[in-house]
Amino acid sequence: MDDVLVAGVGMGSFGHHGPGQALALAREEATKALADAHLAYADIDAVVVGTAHPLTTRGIYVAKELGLTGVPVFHVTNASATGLAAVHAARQAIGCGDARRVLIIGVDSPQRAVPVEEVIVGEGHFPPVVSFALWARRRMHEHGTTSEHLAAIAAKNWNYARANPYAARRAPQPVDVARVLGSRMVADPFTSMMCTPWGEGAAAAVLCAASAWPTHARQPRVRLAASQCGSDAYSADLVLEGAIVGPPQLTRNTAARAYAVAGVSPADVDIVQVHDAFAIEELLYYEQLGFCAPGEAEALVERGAFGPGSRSRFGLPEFSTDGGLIARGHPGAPTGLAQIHETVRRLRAGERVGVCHLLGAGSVCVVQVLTRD
Amino acid sequence: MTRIDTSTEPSGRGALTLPASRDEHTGQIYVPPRALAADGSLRPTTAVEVPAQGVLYSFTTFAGECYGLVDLEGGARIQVLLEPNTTVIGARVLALGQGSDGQPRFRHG
Repeated sequence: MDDVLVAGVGMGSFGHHGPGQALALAREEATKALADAHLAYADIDAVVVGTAHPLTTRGIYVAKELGLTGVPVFHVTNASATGLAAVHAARQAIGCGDARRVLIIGVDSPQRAVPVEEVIVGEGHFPPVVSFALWARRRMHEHGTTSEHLAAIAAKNWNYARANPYAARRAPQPVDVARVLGSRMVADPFTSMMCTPWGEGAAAAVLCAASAWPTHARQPRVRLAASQCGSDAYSADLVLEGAIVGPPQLTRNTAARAYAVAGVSPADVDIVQVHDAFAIEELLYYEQLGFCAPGEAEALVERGAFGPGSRSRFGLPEFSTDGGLIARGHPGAPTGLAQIHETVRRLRAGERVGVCHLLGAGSVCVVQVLTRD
Repeated sequence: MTRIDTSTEPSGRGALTLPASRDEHTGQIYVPPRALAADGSLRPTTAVEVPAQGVLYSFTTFAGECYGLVDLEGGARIQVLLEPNTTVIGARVLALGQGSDGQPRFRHG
């Protein structure tokens, strides 16, 4: 299989754009990604559009905003993991030889203002914040995790977002633990600053086979070295009813396969983007993605690991370097493309290995490894 | 949300019962009930009922409601509504009746 490269990325601000904006948002960010790749839409062989909200415009209408060129258009949806699932689908198209250059668009702006939480609860599930608060409370019981640990992770991500022009939340002043703890209690132990904001947005990327690298592109080549997907495997302690709760082994197993395919180990990883919709998730993913042993995450958080300088100080990667879901935001499908955007940005700037991870309600998991060539 | 069957006789210990299914090959209990075994074998399961009682695994509160996870004595973990002050992880809980909104809730007991 020819190497799959990321030729271009583009994204816009995540936030409250309002309903009915999907076509405009997608058109703008896809145009950016194509420009970054030094390509026109006419150079694209296939399009994958990801949307997570059931009321966002269907993918074919999004693709036709850019041109009517007769190429295959696929619509992917996998809840919060949609963006990376769309990237996975694009990779498969290139890998099997059906396409050489694929445009991927992640967009969410429903035609009517129906909150995604309302959709999830309407399906008979707990509100998402509840499902993850139950994770947090159990972790506190088993390992002595405190609200301060969660607040430290959230503060780190808020502070990363201060330098991200696309972030939904850009605090004018540095954020500390006290400020996070002092924000409104939402679902114990989560305060509002430990939780992702919902909203709308779009982001895009262009994948290409190495043999189809754009002639005029001069940026460093970033390779999609691995893309692995998984879903819940049954165990007696698996909750069968619920939209969100992925068991620990789902992330562990999916990541292990991704590392193996990419030929890397956790020790090689410089940056990581995860599904940090709620601060407890990132803490658990430090362990489940293989960066520390079970039960060790809290002590590392206390010492300042996984934030700026983590690689040099601890030999551990930085997490959520664009602010993560907590501060960069989580419109749904665009989130995975934002992770790709940030990883490509950092790899083009000199880092070597990045990991992107997302869970999707139900549950599904996607883990991707990107490397700088 | 797991549906608690309040139309049947309570179990011998006073708890309500829950609709469930059992894989007769492995003995595994599924709550809510599954038509087919979860191992991909396509083995059909048998409809059963299990007592709405077990051990509190976790809890939280949101928008004035109390939520939890309970490990049932029958061997399944389920999401439930809780009565207020049901907060001792590892302690026994059971659902005896419905709240004022008609929803069954688990409590210590």
